[in-house]
Amino acid sequence: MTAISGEGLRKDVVLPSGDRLELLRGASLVVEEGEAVAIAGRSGSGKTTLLAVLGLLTSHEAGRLRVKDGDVDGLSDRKRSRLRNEQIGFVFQSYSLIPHLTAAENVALPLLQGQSLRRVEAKRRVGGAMELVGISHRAHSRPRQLSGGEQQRTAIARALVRSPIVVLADEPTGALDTATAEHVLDALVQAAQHDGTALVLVTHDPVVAARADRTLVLEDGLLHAGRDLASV
Amino acid sequence: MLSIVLIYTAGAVVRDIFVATEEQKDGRAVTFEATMPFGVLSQQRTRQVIAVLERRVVAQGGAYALVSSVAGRVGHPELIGSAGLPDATITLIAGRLDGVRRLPVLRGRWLSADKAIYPAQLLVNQAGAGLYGGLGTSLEIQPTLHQPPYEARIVGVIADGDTTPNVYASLTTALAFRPVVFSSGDAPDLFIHHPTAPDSAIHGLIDNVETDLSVDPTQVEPHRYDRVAQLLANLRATQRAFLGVAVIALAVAVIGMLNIGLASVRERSRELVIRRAVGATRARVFGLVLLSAVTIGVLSGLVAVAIALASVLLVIPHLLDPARALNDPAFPWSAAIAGLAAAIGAAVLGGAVPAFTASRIDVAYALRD
Repeated sequence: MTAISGEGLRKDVVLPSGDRLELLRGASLVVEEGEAVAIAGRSGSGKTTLLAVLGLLTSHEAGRLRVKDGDVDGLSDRKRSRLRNEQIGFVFQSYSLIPHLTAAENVALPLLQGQSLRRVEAKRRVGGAMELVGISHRAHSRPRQLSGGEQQRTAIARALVRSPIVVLADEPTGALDTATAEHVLDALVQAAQHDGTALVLVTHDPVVAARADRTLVLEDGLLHAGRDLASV
Repeated sequence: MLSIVLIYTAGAVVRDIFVATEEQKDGRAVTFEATMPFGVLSQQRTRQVIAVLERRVVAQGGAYALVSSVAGRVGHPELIGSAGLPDATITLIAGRLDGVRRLPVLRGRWLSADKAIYPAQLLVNQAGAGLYGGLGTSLEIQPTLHQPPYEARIVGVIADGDTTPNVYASLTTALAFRPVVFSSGDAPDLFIHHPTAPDSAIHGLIDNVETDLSVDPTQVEPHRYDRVAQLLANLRATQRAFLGVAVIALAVAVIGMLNIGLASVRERSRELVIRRAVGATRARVFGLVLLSAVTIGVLSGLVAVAIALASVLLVIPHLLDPARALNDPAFPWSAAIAGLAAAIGAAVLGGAVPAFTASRIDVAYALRD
């Protein structure tokens, strides 16, 4: 079953000079449930913009985007927010944890935004997600008390706590040293596989891309399969 | 917020204190004074006047007092005849002066009903108690210097708001023992109070008294004696002026909250974007920011109410003049409600723009560091 698909996605950005730049010129992809897809490309090629479009964080000018077989084009902000909350998880390069909340409270954040759960159920889900990425022992720590690897694991637990159909990760190991990056990547890939969650990894690191089932290269606003990553 | 609560509280407390003081000094609202030419006020004529006033005023729910201040002497029996004893102002009263003015009895009791009692009963104020002696002290009273004194006893100490010694005695008793207290030209002042009747109804009561006592109405000029209404009007005007200042202060507070709110939104923009990214709707973010502002508003309102409450319950009672025998002021809870409403209103006004700004933050920034 398809987790997320985009067909002919077009997205322009307006530069500070006022000129329009076409970052996506008809990019298409299909990601199946449980599949891990890496998206690679040069800096400024539009990888992050593609992730923003796939994650309903920004709208696209043309093309068709579907999440779990549902067309999302033209949805209201409320419905897009609900889809983000229930079907899409995000892992950001800079962790994006809220500093004054504990790790557990950060993980619980998606559970507080959408349809409310009973306290016991919410606690169970938070515990389960933290257990899955091996961070339960730091549940009551605040982000500044956590190492970079622990913060990113917390962010991964937050992305998975709602059992989304797809997790979108933007350079998830970009801020980590090699050893920590490997452990975090293991946690992310294994957790996604455990839940049967699709994974879209934006990276320019061939080692990270190699952990995905397949890699697409974003070039000239289009996604290409089978490109040599060394040239990126 | 504090300014609103304090101005409102001060207005209510000052109103209560001023009204109580005015009711003690001149008369309760509404009190009329009418000087009536009763003729020579003999014991018999006084009984007749009292009977009419009882029927025409007291039976209608009002109160009256016939009051005449005379320059006489009051002192201990062995001193009353001495040349060095100073004159005393003696207030002779019939009816219930304590029904017309707020004259709380601090010790003892009020004068007995209008009848001749021997020894005569006296009331003194706090300064009088200090000069003549307290409750139960035996004295002699001489309402007119050309008639001999008669025996009297202090039966009550009252608070009349005056710091000079005052003595109050029964007019009926004075006339019984010394019939020629008044000359033909003297006439006691008549005070009539009614708590609910309009001015026109009180005029009607006075007309009836004039008719029953066969007094020439052209020689009677009743007029409003208490100044409670005028006092309240002045207080309202002052309060309005202060409220105007408070509203300006509140407007400044709203602008301040708006600026602080916008700065807070800028500072929290990353957090708000993360919340949006994980599914918070614009409405939820709007509510979150507005709730923060309202929480601050309510907290500041509660602090203002606490300060006002402490002022009213702990500070103001120590500032009241004991001679006025005022009750400790009650805290005006309407001030708390007004203050909290102002605080919440200001928070909503000051927080709405930051909340709207927060709800419009571009969620795509979630992916940018």
